Amino acid sequence: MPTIRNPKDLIAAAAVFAVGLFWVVHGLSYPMGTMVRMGSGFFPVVLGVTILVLAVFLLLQALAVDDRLEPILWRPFAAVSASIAAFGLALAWLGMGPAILATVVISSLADRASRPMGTIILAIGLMIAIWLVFILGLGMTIPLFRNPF
Amino acid sequence: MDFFQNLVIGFQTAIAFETLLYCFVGVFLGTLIGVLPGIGSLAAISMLLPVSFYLDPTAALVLLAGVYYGAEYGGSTASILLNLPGTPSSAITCLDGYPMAQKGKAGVALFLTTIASFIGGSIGILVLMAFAPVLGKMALAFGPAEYFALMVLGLIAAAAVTQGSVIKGLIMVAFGLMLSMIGTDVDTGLPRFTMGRNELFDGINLVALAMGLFGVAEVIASIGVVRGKLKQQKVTLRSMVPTREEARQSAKPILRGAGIGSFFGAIPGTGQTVASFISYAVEKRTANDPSRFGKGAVEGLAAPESANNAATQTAFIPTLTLGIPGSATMALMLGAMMIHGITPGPTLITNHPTVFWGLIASFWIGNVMLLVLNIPLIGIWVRLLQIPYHYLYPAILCLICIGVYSINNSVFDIGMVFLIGIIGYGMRVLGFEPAPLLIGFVLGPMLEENLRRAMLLARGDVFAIVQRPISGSLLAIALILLLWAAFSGFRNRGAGSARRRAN
Repeated sequence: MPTIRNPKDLIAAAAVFAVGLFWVVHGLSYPMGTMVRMGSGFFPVVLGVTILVLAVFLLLQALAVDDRLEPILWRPFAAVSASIAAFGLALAWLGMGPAILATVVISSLADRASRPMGTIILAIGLMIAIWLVFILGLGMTIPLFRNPF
Repeated sequence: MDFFQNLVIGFQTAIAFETLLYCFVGVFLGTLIGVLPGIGSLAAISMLLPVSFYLDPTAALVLLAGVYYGAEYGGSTASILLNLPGTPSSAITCLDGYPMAQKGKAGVALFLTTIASFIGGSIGILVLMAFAPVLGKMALAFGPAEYFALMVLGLIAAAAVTQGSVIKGLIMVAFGLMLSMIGTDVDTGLPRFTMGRNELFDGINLVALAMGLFGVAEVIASIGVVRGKLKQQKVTLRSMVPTREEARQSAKPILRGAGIGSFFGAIPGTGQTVASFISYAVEKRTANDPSRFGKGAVEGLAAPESANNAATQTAFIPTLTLGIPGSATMALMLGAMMIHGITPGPTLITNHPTVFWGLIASFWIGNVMLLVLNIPLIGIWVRLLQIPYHYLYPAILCLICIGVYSINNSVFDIGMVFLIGIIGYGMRVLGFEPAPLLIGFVLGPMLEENLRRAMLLARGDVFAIVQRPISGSLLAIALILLLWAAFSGFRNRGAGSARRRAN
């Protein structure tokens, strides 16, 4: 059984191929037009086909050249992504203050060097600074706290 | 005569109190984020983009540009003191800057990089002043076919200079073009690839895209990695004065660096990082004793720092006169201009002389401000490097979210940052660089529009674009560049993997 010597480019080629295929199929649902008057579908389909060809080249590269997959930093990845989602949700329901608190607390979980006390102080400091600059200074209309009910 | 009149108009605009203030804020913030590793000027500019909506167009551009070239000054500080580049283009400065700091010459290194940055930047501005109006006049004769060819060249160049494989660079460019198709087709009014979401009718938000790709993905990759120990706690003014010998040795490299930087900065697709790497290679090759490099040679410090600052300034040439951004950051600047109703292109200089010459005058003022910020006030930045990253990145993430939200007051855009951040990190893991994607995204709509117009004018004859002299030669250059990049890339990668297999 052959071992996979370049998982990085292999996965990449598969992902790119999938995107290209989706783009071509979806693009074909728009009018193509003619060469003189191109329709909405022409350019997307050309691009989709280009990317499919490039995916094949990438596959060839994956077979010819060795490469290792870089280690995925799962903890920072999960914590940072979650903290952004939390900001959006908290902002919609509770206002900017809680959103900042949620983002600072959740994203701090990514780094083992963070300490609870420091994180809380950072969140409060940021709330004050952002309130001063964005709401007081620039006059943005975001409520610091919102009643969810 | 005309030239000096224009310059006077420029300085009149630039010394207005408001412009001067935003110039200072820009270069100050630029130095700040340049000094701090783990956040680049691109993320900073995208964070400031929403704020700039509240300013008048000239002040907004002066502010954003200040962040951009200010970051090049600050970038070398972390390279020298921590062996961690503050910006990608000062990565090469680590090679000789850090050894100098280890020898107790951190002060001299910081002084020399600032002087090199200033001279490089000044020469870059002179080149910009000399060539931009000329190129602008030439470009007036360009039709849609020429613009299309020029953009193709820019996109190929962006893909060709990426550090990974050319194929991946091209994929990123194509991916950026594809993302730019999302939204309403300006020509037919048909919504494309919106998945039925009304929020996507205007397309993906440029700021959300830039912040997700560069801000969020960069933070994820930096957590736990950016943790350096300061070698030297205090840098006194006295310790910064170089010896006569050091000053003499760095004079010519600074000038050579400025020349190399000015050239590569003006070419779309390359930019300050490429310029700094090439100028380092040139210095090493022309040196009498190349073995000194990597052990604290002043030439290896002065030349790349001069080059990246010169490139930063000349990068404005294609952006302002042709409307074609040479780098991802310039793509953002272009976006900022269009949001303010200024169309960059050959008519910019004649239609908006106060914007163009005011911006250039602000570059001069900004560079002098940076000289003051980076020599007498260096102590502030050194102390700043002691702030641990785990206090910085939560603040960065909050600012990203608020910045994106404030553009349209839409939570949907924060969701886009979340999604793009995940995709962006995935791309990073798979070895895709995000910069060509952003260039593709900004050029996409213009590329499609010019292709459509060119085809309409040529009655659908594809070969008409190739037959026109200017567009034909531009496309030929693009093809040569592509073949060269593909060939040299395969050879390097092949050699690399052969070596790895042998080990």
